[in-house]
Amino acid sequence: MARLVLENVVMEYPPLRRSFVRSLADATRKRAPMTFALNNVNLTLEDGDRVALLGPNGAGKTTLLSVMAGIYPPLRGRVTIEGTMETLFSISAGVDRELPGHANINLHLRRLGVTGKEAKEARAYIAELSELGGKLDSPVHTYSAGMSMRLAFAMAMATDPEILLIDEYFGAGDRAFQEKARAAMLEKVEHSRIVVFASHNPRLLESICNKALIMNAGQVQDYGDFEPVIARYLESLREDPKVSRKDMMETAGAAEPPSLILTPSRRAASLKSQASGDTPSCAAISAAGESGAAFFSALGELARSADMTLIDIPAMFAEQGVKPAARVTSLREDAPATGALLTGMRGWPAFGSSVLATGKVAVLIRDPRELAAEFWLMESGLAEGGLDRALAELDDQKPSRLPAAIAAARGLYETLAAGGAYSRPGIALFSAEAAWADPEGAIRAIAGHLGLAADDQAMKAAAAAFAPPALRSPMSALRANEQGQIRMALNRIARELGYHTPEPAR
Amino acid sequence: MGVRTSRWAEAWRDLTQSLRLTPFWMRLAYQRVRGRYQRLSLGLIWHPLSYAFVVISLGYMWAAIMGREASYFMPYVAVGFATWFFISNAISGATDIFNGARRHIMARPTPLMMFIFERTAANLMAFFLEAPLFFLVALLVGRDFGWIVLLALPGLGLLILNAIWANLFFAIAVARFPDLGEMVRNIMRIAFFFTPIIWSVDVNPRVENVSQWNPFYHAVEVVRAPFMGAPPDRISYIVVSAIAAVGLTLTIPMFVYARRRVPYWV
Repeated sequence: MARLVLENVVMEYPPLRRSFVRSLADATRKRAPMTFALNNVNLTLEDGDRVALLGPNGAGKTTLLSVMAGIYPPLRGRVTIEGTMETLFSISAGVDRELPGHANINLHLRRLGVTGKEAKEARAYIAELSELGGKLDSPVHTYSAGMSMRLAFAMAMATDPEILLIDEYFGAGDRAFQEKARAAMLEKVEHSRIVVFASHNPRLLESICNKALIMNAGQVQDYGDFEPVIARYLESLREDPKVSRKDMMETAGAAEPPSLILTPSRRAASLKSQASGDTPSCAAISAAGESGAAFFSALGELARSADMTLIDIPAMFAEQGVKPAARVTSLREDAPATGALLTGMRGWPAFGSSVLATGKVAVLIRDPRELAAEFWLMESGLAEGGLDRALAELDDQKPSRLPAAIAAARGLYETLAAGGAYSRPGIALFSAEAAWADPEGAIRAIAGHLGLAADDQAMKAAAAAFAPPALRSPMSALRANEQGQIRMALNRIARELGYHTPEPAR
Repeated sequence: MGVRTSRWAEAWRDLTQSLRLTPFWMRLAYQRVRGRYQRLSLGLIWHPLSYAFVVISLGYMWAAIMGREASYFMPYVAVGFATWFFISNAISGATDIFNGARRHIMARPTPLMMFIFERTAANLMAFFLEAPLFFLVALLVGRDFGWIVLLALPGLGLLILNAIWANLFFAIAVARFPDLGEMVRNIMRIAFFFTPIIWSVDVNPRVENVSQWNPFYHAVEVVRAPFMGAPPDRISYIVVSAIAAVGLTLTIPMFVYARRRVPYWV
């Protein structure tokens, strides 16, 4: 039976590292000011607990893990560790790049005190998992980055401790290896009794954890069963204006499809509870496999459990008579769509997937009175973490580096929505703040996405409605009547594209 | 592993865990010595080779400057230099032990004494790589050491004991007050010139008297004197043993106190 108990653990940070002169100066004062890295943390983990550790940057996640590991003895309080423990914090730390792979493996096993038959097995396992084969005879500095990563990862996987502490580390090697790494990881987790896993990757956390622990400013903000805690956490982030979009994005998880953690936004919640008297519950689902069909069926589940309207985009396109057959196919199979993002009412991403392995999928959704959400289509050039980067850039006010299609489309949607043109459940196409800077681009981009030629009638009509200066100004800089003109133009496009005409506001 | 376990018990466990990890830190120590010559085709051979180059050229030159016969002075320099390196590494070299081990310390719970042993072992390995030069140089200048050189071994033992506490002391002190590192390294650079390594105390009686007050002189003597054909002075043994006793007595409680704080400092 393994146990990990923290009682009233307090840690001060930065802990006592001051210059000599400062230290002397401090010693003459009564007491130096203190900041707490951990403030009165109480926690008992027992066999079977697999804990997802989450919290904004600087919340004390890494410190907490270090305290759990016994690296930082707490200044006050008590840490009890029962059971063999292993840490996966910085897995490359133990690799000497001058030494051959084999020598590194031996060194690592000596460090862990693994000997004899066990060591032999571990060596074989590492060689097999890392796929390095004969390359293990060469010094690590001759390896590619991916190869070193694979070696470090395989070394980290070699033993089965009872307590496993993991700090965010994933992303080893190419995609084929990722799958293998994941499997190895899950197996290791399976073999251990207690796991604490700090990660921003909800899909991984979902597949591993049954509990969640939210740290905030050195304190335990929330702890308990995985799903409700995660739901409350995402909700709290949405309500916190200080949380950057990027943080949120990280938390909501960018890296992997097809998984979904979805929480109704606050506004949606209030709307819904007005309507039905119910409090909407959070739904978290994950779809096994990578097929679009599995994903859509998983979404179906979600929709039922959250009582939301689910709209299958391909069907949607068809229903609207947008003749998007080719487009739909391309959404589900192969390029150009390689990512999707689901956002909440205020634009916070609730789910993102920047890399859909085969370019499949593109999602669903939205009933503006329920869960407001939209999806973004990504050009294939944005694969490989592109969405995260794109969002980061948005935050950095550098929208120009976003592909025009993404940048443009959001403006259109927002315009349509703001103008009341769009109260019917449906999809919101594409997006990004950048569109506000370039309405003309927005129109062109969305038309392009829907397969309309630039000289299409609808396009021409829309363009004609714009006063030329307005086209080159950010939307927000325009006078009300100019904005109105543009909205009208966009509405017109929407109609031309087969979207419904506005319903009178209720 | 609760904090209510006493500091002494924790320190003791640190020590036993460190000893259990001997194969690991021995390998790290070897790698520390070997690492410097890693990509070279002569590899470790470079270590005695460089040492031979320094010792033979400096020994020859300083023999001339001091007006001493090379057959005496070259072995004198050869042994003295290696011994001095061992001593000074235990002090100025120790200043980066914990800071240099940061990635190990932060990656997993690691006993700290291990790094002290590791560094001491590495310095000792370097010394033993230089030791063959004592004999080669003696051969070169036609000097016969005789069995008395075996007396250097207990002397070396005393130095190792001192090296352990000095490594520990300066590792902790510099982890706490990083600025001390610069100070210590400066002092040791000068100490080299105040210690008879490339000169000998018999230049005049005053120098000999003053040198008695230099602990480094005694530390070098307990190893070097046997090579020069005489047992070390009793006073040298006393001084070196006393320093070891005082040093260990001071450093052990210091370690017990500081052990839990080092991870915060590095």
